[in-house]
Amino acid sequence: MLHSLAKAAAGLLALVAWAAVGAERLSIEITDQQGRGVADAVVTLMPLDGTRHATATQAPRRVEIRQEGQQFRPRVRVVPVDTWVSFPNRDPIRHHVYSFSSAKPFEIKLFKGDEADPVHFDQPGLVAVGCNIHDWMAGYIYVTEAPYFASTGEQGMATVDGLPAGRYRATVWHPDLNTEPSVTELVVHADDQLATTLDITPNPQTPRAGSLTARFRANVSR
Amino acid sequence: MTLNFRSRVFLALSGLVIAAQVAGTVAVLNTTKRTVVEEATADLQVGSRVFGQLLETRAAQLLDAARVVSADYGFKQGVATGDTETIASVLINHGNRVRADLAMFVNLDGKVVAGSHGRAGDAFPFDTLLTLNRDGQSGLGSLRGSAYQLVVVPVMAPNIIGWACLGFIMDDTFAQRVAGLTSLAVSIAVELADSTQAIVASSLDTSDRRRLGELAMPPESYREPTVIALVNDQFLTLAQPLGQRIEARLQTSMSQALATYDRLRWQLVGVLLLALAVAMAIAHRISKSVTRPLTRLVAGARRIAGGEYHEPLALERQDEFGELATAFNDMQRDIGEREAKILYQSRTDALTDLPNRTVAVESVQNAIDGGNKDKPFAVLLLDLNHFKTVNDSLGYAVGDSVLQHIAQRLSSVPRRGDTVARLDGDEFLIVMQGADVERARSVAKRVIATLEEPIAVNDVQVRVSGTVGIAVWPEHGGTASRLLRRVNIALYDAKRGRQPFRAYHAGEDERQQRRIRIVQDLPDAVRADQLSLVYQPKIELGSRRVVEVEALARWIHPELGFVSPADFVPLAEQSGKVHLLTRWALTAAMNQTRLLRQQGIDITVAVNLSAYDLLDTGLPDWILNSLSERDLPPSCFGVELTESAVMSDPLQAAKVLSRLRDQGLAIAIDDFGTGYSSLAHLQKLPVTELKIDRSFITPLTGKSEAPSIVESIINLGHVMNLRVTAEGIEDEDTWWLLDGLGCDKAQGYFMSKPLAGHELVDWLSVLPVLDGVDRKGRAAHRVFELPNNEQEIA
Repeated sequence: MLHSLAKAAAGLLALVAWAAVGAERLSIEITDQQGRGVADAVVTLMPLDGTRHATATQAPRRVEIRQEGQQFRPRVRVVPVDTWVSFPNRDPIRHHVYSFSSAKPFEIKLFKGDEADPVHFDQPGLVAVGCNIHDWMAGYIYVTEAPYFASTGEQGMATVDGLPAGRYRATVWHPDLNTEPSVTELVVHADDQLATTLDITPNPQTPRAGSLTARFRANVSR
Repeated sequence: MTLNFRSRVFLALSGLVIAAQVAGTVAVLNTTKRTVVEEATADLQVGSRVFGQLLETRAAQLLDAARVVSADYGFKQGVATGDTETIASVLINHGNRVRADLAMFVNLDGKVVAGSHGRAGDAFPFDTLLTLNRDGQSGLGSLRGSAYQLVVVPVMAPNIIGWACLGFIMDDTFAQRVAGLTSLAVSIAVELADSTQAIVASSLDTSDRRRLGELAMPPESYREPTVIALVNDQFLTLAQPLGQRIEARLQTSMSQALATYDRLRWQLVGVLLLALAVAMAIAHRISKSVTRPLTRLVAGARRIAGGEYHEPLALERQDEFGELATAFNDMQRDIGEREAKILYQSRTDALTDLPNRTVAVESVQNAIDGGNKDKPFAVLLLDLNHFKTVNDSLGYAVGDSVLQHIAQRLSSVPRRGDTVARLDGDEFLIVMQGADVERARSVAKRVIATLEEPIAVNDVQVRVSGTVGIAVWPEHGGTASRLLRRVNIALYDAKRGRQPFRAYHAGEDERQQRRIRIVQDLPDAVRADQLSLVYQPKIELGSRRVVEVEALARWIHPELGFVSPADFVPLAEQSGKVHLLTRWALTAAMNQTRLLRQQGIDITVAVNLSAYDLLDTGLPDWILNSLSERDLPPSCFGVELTESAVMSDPLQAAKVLSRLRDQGLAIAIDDFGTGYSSLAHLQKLPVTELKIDRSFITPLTGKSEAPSIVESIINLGHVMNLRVTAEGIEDEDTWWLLDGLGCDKAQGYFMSKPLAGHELVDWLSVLPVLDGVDRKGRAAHRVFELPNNEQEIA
């Protein structure tokens, strides 16, 4: 990417992994450079040893990213290919959801309470979703082909269960990454832990602060 | 070259004003120029800050515009398609909305996807502006020889999908607008690919702009305003880099800045020249006004130096020059007065206020110069008689007072045009115009008469008398000196003759000159053997024996010829030189005596002495010593003195003559009967002989009473036991007469004239001898032979 200067890189990737044969559990802990847990980090595990695994997911799933509080919630969804994602508008205001991603460009105008037809994501890739009316709103749909994946919660933790032991390529991605997604190889033997430190610059979905916003807010609360 | 004072004053004053004015003007102009330049510099600096501010403001505005553009959904949608043509159209569309001159969309790889400049796929030329900051970034850059203000904003959809770049050209219009706002000349210079520079935007005119493009900015122009000369003007220039290879050059026109200065300069120069002209005119006037009085004073001083004291300097001024002129005039007047006083004093006798000797001589000279031979004038010289006794007896104060009185009396004598002057001491001179001798004589009489009246001084009656000498021009002398000399001679003669007045007689001057000559030449004559002695025999009347000779001096003056002893002896006596004469005569006579004695002639030689010789107390001893030196017995020598000489101081005479007589010299009284002799004194004198003056002898054969007188004298002499000699026998009858009267000796031309030494010897040798040898063995006396020799020798 640009700035492909060697930004201070990241982390150490602690490798551990050995997974027991069978269904192992991989505990994932993602922290930022300040040691805080990073939410909404996506970890995908692509087996490397050629074993065709059935995708952890069976039927195309349905997930939703709602517009709520003028934010996309959740911010990040990791879904397998062929997932249907709906975008219900839970806000009392209109949103104009769009994506220009190459994986799935779409746009939906949603009045409050509206719920349009879900969008079928049939291509792997990162789909960034924005709202035309509200520049700060950004959501991400990580469409992955990897059979195993997870996204971290508030604390920066996630688990992947039923993971057969073996070699995997682990990819860690976060919307606020300053660097390329980290890709590592790991061998899972037993219950393992994947801990990664990411170089991220938090970019929460908040509108620009300013007197204009404050005035509106004040008006609204009256 | 030395300048005169006036020029110096003029130059000093005008020089001063010039210097002051020039200094002031130059100072003002310099300060003004500096101030103007400083203001222009400050303006430029302010202008450059304004320019910077303008650019920033514009950048902010453009950035806002770009942000809006890039946030536009349609724009986002367009560029998200990835389709070059769509993106280009979107760029055009949205770019036009904000009147951009350049629009590009740059992908995340830093390549231009579509743009107004460059081909798709080119690297974005302004990659330094690419930022993740949603606010975007502005900057300045050049592309293809144009300069742009660029804004680059990320296109967020919702994440960054690329950058939109908008560029706004900075061209002449931009430059002119900025120039208008800042009042500066603005130019944007761009470094081209070939490292040359181009002025891409400028508010300058063509030729200046071209020139600016040719110049390399000097390093100092990046720090502070620097003067750079272009074609039409000089510009204070500040160079400001705006970005890579692009810089702004802000300039302010010097000529504009200096416009007011120039105006001021011309005004000041004008004032300077005017002030100069005025100052020089004033300086000229002042210097003139200073030097004019000085010049006049100088002229005045020169006049005084030339002797003119009368014309005062007219200078009507109240200031220092006026004072100087007044002082000058005072000085001139004082000098004139002093000169008059000195002149007066030099020409006036202080005591009597009469004209002095100088004026007297002048008057005579003037009278001569102004006269003609038909109009004689007379000079009278008045001398007061015995005035010294007045001073001696009554004192000089009285004497002076007397003189003053006399002066007053004399002043009344002459008529107008005549001069009365006081010469010295007690002499006064009167110059009378138009007077002949007779007139002068009558005036002299009047003068004498005025003196007869006694003069009253301090209760004392002083009697004075005077003598007047008269000389008349041109009769008595043609020149002033001759005239004055002759009036002096006339006076002297008058005094000598005891006359109250006497006119000059012709010849007296010559006689006087002769007398003076004689006196002067006498000492030399004594030394130079011009004098000689002659001897006149004295013969005993009875025996006719030549017993004695009287020595007489003779002087043959080389020029005057024969000078009679009757002339030079009295003169010698009067001039105090008779001693010389006497000593010489005595010596010569003694020598002759010795000669005679050597030849067997035994006669007495007698020498004449004067009264003054009697005062010589050493004379008797000298005579005796001289005689003994020559082995001469004193009895063969004798001296003769006149009666009056002896009687002038009989006591002294007695002393001297006694000394001689004691030694046996013969002493005779000469010219007896003519002096004032006292018989009492005569008795006491050690005299051996009386010689009767010739004035008694000569008329013997004539007058009847003469023989009786002579007889009386002879008897008197005999009574006093003296021998008597008769002088001046000129004929035989007188001889016999005297013989009959009992006179002892005779001397005169009848027997012999005075003879020189050798003549005497000759004369004696032809005389018969009385006795061959006398009883004492002495040589016999020669005897005078009477012509007829009839009488027997008694």
